[in-house]
Amino acid sequence: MTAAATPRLREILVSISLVATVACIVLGVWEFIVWKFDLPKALLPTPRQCWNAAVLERLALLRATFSTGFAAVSGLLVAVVIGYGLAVVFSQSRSLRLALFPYVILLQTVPIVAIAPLLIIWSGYTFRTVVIVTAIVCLFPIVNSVTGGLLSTKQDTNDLFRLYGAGRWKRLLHLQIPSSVNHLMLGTKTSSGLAVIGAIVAEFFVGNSTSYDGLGTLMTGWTAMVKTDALVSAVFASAILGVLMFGTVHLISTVFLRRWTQFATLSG
Amino acid sequence: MAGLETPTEGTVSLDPPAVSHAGGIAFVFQQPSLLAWRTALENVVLPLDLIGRGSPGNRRKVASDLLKIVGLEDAAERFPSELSGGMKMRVSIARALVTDPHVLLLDEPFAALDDMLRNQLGQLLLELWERRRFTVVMVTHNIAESVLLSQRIAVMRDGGLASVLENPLPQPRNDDLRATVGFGEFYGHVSHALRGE
Repeated sequence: MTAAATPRLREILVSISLVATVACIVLGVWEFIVWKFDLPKALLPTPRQCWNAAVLERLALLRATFSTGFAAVSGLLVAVVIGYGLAVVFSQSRSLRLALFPYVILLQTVPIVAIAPLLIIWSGYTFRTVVIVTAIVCLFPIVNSVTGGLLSTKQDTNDLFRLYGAGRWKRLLHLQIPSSVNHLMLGTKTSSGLAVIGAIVAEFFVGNSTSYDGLGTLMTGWTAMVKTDALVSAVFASAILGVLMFGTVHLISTVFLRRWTQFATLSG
Repeated sequence: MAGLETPTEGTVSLDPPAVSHAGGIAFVFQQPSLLAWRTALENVVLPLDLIGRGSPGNRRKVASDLLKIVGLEDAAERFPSELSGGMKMRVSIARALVTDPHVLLLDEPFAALDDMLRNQLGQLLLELWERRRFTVVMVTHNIAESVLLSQRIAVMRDGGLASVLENPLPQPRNDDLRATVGFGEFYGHVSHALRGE
């Protein structure tokens, strides 16, 4: 056990120390540039000033990160449910797939900043609007990936199911859905990063001084007040949120859905 | 014959009429074609799940008996990615036999395996046939395999049937037969027929 665990542990430690080294260098160069060119705090604060701002604003930051995280997760879940449903429909009917798939692509290509103002008009300066925007941003990678997964069953396996007279329903249940789990998780992983972006962009439009409080609304407020140091700390908070979401999806995929994700890639 | 393709001409008749949808016909592919998310046992259960025969408990019992016969009772809970090529092929054969089919179709089932595994699985097939006496139709490019396993060999050449040879070798068969004169002689016949002489 230890013999097998030690190299793995060493690998993890090495990668952590490498990442930490890069962080130190970047922070050092950053601090040096500010000192060397004597940049004003409003333009570029030093890492230490940003840290102090983060500590000072910790309650607001924490609450905003939580709100944005909640909106991002909700939007992502909505996208998973709708996206999976659409993908199942697309996998069952070629004509529906041909008719509707272009519109799903359209949803992806229309810039979200163009749709967001409309959604504000329809749905108001609310949490719901943020969730809708997030779901729209997250939808395409999931639909695309799952549809591919549902349709990518092997010829032999298809023959096997036909041989035993499996109908559409049994094929879906015993073959297509299990083999699409891996694709679903890959799509969700891609979307988990987009979810945070979608939520923050939506929050920009929702703006501050409303009942809703997220990282995006916080940033809008701090930009107006030129609180650059706090703004930078909010950027870091959103980055951490994105990593957390990605990590959570990865964890779910490798721990709870192992049967469908780990083994599927190795297959026999 | 499996009903996977419609014949270009003529008809396919089976006696007794083995309704393929009830599991009367089984197929073993070149590749094991197992479902990666199902354990060995669950893969063998699959055909019973699909035709809806028996209670879930009963299905598992039938499948686990078959896994025992193919010598994989210890690997029942392992996933395909944790099995060797030969083991996967055994699971695939057990899966084909789980519905107790009248007809077993084998499409070059051992082509991807090395000689030793090929012989082992051929032996397994002979044992299974001794127990259950189903009809086997096997496609192979390996003359020795056809000589050892068959009762009748239909030689295909240039996309058509060239000749049908009755296999004179005695039953029951086993691997020792390969060292006999009779084996060598019949091997020669088949080889000739294949070359069109």
